[in-house]
Amino acid sequence: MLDSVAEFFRMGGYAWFVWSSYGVVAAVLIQQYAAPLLRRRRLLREVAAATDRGDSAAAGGDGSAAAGAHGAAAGATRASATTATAAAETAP
Amino acid sequence: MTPQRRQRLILSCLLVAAVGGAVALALTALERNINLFFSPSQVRAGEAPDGRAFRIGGMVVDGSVARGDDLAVTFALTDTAATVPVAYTGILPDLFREGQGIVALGAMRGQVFVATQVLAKHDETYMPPEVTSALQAAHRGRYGDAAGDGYGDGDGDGAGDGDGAGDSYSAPVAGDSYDSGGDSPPQ
Amino acid sequence: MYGLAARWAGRLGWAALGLFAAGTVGGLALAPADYQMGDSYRILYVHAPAAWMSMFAYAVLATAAGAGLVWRMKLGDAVARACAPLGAAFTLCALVTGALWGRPTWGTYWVWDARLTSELVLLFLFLGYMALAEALDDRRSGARAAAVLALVGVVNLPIIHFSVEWWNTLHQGASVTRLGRPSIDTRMLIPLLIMFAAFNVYFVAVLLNRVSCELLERERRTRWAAEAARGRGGHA
Repeated sequence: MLDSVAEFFRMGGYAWFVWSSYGVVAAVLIQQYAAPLLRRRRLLREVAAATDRGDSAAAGGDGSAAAGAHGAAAGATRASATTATAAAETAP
Repeated sequence: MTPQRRQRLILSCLLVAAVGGAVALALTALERNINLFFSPSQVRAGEAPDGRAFRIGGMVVDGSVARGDDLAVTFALTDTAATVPVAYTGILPDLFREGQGIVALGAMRGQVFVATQVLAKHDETYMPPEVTSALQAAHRGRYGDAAGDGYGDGDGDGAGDGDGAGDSYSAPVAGDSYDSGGDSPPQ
Repeated sequence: MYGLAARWAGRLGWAALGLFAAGTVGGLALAPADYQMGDSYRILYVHAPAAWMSMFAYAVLATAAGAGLVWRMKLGDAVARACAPLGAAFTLCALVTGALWGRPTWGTYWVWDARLTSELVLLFLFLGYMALAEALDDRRSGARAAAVLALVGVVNLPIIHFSVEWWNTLHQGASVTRLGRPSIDTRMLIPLLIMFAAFNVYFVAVLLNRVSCELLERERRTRWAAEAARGRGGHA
């Protein structure tokens, strides 16, 4: 059993060529698959942060908003600013 | 389709056609340089460069491989129409064997091609060893022991190459003339 | 459309993973060794599909880029841009695995024969397309310039495919796509076909992911993008 496993990994003496071929292909395909997923996650974060900023800007532009609401909006702006910084930090 | 789009479509098609034509002309003009090797017939006909290094490709004649001292080896290379003797000193690739296609880099010295590098070519046939030995047995049964094919193993049946795959030396000609009997054993 | 693409990309990704697993086990463990090359021929199971996909990806790229050029289809440009890095990756795989296969069988990693050289040209076409599409500040003129290059490069596809017939090369002829029956044993052929399927499904999955990214990037200011960001937990 162990012998046949060792035999399998030996690949009839061509171990280096066979295994490095499969290794290269696996590495490249995984990288290609992961790249758009990571990019999408980054984009979604950025969009979410931008949406928050947009919302708070709209609230601020209201002008005659109650002081309490205004304060809440300012708080939201601060919160979204930290989110944006976090997104910028995680971005490669 | 708007006239503008039609125009762009026609322009695109013309672009592809023009580039295709130009490349086809260039490749035809450069054919000698694109071909990787000369066949023994071409070498015999004097088409190969004289006194310069070039590549020769063909089938190792069955029974022609003679090993000397220190990795020296001589063999004959054929395309079934002409044969050129080759001398080489060095390590041969795993796939080098009688009846196998090879490509050698070197130059003619007199009548002998002195090679500095020998590469093995393999055909597009893939099969397990059991199948080959079964085929060989069937082959021998049909044609008698002396009729071994000159093309290595497994090409004797209809599934082999030689039907326009572009190998100059895989023409489906019976290779008995330089056969010394018996196929080279698989592996 | 964005959501649909992303959902299908995920499903196809899993399907590709399953096919890759089946094909790899079949190719490495179940298929018999070759009568000439022994176990080194098993590189075929990654080499041939990668080489095939490199050409297929280029065909898709050129078609999409051509549609983008003629009909000013934004989706065409997006698909073409998505194809380029993936096609370059397939080409690289084909070249590297080919070298690793060539060393034990032919006796050399590389030779300047027509097949190998034209495949290398394909890699440069992909890289050239990517460079050109990114080079110009104006995204649309960049896409147009790159599309012209893509159309010019189409000429290379028949050259790659027929190089082994038009010229004499060290590379062997086709085994699977030839007329008549394939010159490869059935037990060896089945894992190869599975691998071909795996590469194709993988290609579509990655393409969908990339195109959906392109759409999201381009329309990040729209309402659906914001909804997508919220729906996918963009804050998390």
